[in-house]
Amino acid sequence: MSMKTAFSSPRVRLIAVVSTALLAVASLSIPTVAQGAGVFKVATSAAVTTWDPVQSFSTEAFYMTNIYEPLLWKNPDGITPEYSPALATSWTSSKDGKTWTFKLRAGATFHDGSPVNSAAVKASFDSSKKIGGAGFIWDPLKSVETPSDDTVVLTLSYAAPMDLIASSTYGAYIVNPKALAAVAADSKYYESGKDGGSGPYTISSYKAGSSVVLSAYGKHWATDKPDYSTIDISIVPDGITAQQMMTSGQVDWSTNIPLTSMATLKKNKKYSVITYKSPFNYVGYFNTLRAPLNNPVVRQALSMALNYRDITAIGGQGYGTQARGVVPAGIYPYDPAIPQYSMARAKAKTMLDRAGVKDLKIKITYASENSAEARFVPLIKDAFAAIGVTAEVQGILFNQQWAAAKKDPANAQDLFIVKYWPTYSDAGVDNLWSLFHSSTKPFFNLSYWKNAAYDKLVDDAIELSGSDKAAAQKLYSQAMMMLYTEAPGLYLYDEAQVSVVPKKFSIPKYNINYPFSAFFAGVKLS
Amino acid sequence: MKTKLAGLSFLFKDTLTTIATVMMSIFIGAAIFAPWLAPFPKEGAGETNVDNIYIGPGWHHLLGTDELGRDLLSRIIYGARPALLIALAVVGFAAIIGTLLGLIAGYRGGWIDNIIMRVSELFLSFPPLLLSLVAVTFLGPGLVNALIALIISWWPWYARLIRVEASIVRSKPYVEISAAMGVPDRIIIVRHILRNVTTPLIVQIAADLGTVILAAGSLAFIGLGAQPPSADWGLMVAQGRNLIFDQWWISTFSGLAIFLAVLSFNIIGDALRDHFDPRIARQ
Repeated sequence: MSMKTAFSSPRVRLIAVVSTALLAVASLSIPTVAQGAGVFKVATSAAVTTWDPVQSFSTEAFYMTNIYEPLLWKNPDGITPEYSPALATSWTSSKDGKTWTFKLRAGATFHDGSPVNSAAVKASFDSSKKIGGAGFIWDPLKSVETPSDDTVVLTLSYAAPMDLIASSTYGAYIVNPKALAAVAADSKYYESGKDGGSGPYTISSYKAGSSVVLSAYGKHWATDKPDYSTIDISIVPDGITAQQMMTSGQVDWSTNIPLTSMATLKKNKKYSVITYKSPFNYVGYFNTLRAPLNNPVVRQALSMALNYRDITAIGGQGYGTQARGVVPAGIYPYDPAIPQYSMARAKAKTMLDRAGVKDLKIKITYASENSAEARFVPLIKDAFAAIGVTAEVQGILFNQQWAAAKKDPANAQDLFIVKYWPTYSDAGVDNLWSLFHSSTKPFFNLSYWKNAAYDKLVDDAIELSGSDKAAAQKLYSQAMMMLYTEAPGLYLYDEAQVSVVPKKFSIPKYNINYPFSAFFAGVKLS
Repeated sequence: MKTKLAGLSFLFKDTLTTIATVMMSIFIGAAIFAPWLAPFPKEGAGETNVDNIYIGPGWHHLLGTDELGRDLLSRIIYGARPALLIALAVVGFAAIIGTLLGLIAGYRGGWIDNIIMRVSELFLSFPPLLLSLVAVTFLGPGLVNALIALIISWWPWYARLIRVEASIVRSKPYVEISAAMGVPDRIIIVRHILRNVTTPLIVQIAADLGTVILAAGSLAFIGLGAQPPSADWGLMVAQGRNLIFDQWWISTFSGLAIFLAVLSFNIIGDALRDHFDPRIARQ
């Protein structure tokens, strides 16, 4: 039967038309990712402030953890072992915690094919310590030795948890020495979309403020290759737009959906709404330089005025828990035994009366770009009003808020609201030290609180944490107890991370140690 | 009394203008009498009521409640205050600065005119909202800073308008005679020129009030204008934006308030222009 004869039959023609129509309909209903292109489309708010892995200290971590690798990855809280090997396969430390030896992975290469070796590790750490955005994490590092191509020995000036530091989300990437040399010669080297990483993806294209396309690196050392060879990422700062893009099928996954949309998405059978602990903690600094806030009793009274349940419910839209100080749950050295303030307004009023405080007026500043703060700060104002304290609320951009607080502490705000998180997963060396340790010039210690006993506890704990974590924890707990009783800050709530995951995909779980990152190599069709 | 009211008859010249006049009266009345008109005045002023969050429109809360449990109708009534304040303040200050500079430029001419007009043109070369955005970025967010930013971008329009009118009046014989007779410049400017530019000034002010409300709302919407817990319509639209699919009433009713206020001011601005401009009235 010739072709012409076959299609001239009405029945065959009908079958052909129906089949074509069915095929067309079927092709429309097949998810984009299953069309063989291996493209996973993402919408995120993560902006790129730099592509330089040494300078990186912001939201570009979202991409960096796919392009670059540290020596180790730190696993989420509760998972053993604590670390997964990345570019190092084994590591040991001396008893005193001052010497750390890392064995490097055989066969790992940078994206230009050159090997990842001890010289690259030394060059990366030296560069990060010298000029890195998070270079301070290498403060304990005295020297890096390279006895062989696959061995790195780190000598420290004081004991420090180098496994933790080497798995930091900032400042710990191993970078191709050729890229380090190139950027030293030309500071715009990375702007053309080049990278010096060894991770499972490379940068394929970047349009500033608009999109990033990542392509799988075929020679990556992992035996389990990514399901998606291309990750097509749209930078969408607006959460509700990102949500629309996901629900309309424009993208497969959106990472910045507003908390206020979670109730609706929970009802949608296509998505799972998953809650994780995050390292984000909301705290308010009292200006302890100014009377009557220099009186701990007054600070305690103000702490008792707050309705923490409402602040968490409104600020975090129910996705959060009242904080126990400034160390978020799930991050070392969190201690569940540290007490919390609870609302006791009658008692608070009595305490203020006894302290001789009348008609107290305080000025609260918060970052106007933070929608959670904008939601819960009015509750603080109302809580203070309930005990006779008048609050003036000022929402300003964070940079302005921070600059004003550092410029003239004696005349700065009375209460500074901030969202804080540790640079790497050690809130002892970061949150406890950065937020409340004495210093001559304020940086993040914006309560301007000075307490020698507290300083000693934290300093001693930091020294001990590299060799005796349990002993360090005890000292940290004493320091956190002191923060509770002295109340230089208002400890508001730990924010939860809420991920909306399309059920047709399996997406790696959120890792509290890499709060801004998504690991695309593990994305699979369910 | 009858004569005075008859002077305002243009505000009721047709159905549309009458509706706009009524709406504007409601808007001004809401701004002045907010504490008495709002069903929940404390919530209108910003007090939170967490137990009542996200209640939809109903008998108890006619327009529903917001994310802090505040009655939305009360918030919208209180929101008329900053809207009216910023509209009057921006237009008022811009008109004073612009008129003063326009009069000087138009009357004196020469290099003073050149300098004032080139500076005005420099400001006018930027879109008004963009200039305000830049200004408020430097000054920092807040109602007062938004107000200053809008004045910065608004005054050149008045300077240019008044300068044109002033230069026309200046060449009139009675002004030239006054100058020849030795009447001081300030007297000529106030008695002859200012009086003759009052009509276009009033028309421009009326036309601008609505636009300023919209501009101030835009700044608040992007977080650079009024800040929480202020009852500001633009801010309320922004706060409800992420909730538009579920708690639609927050953005919808706040946006409607802006829409109606701007519309009524614009219609009345048109009516004023028709009334004062004999050429348009003849048409």
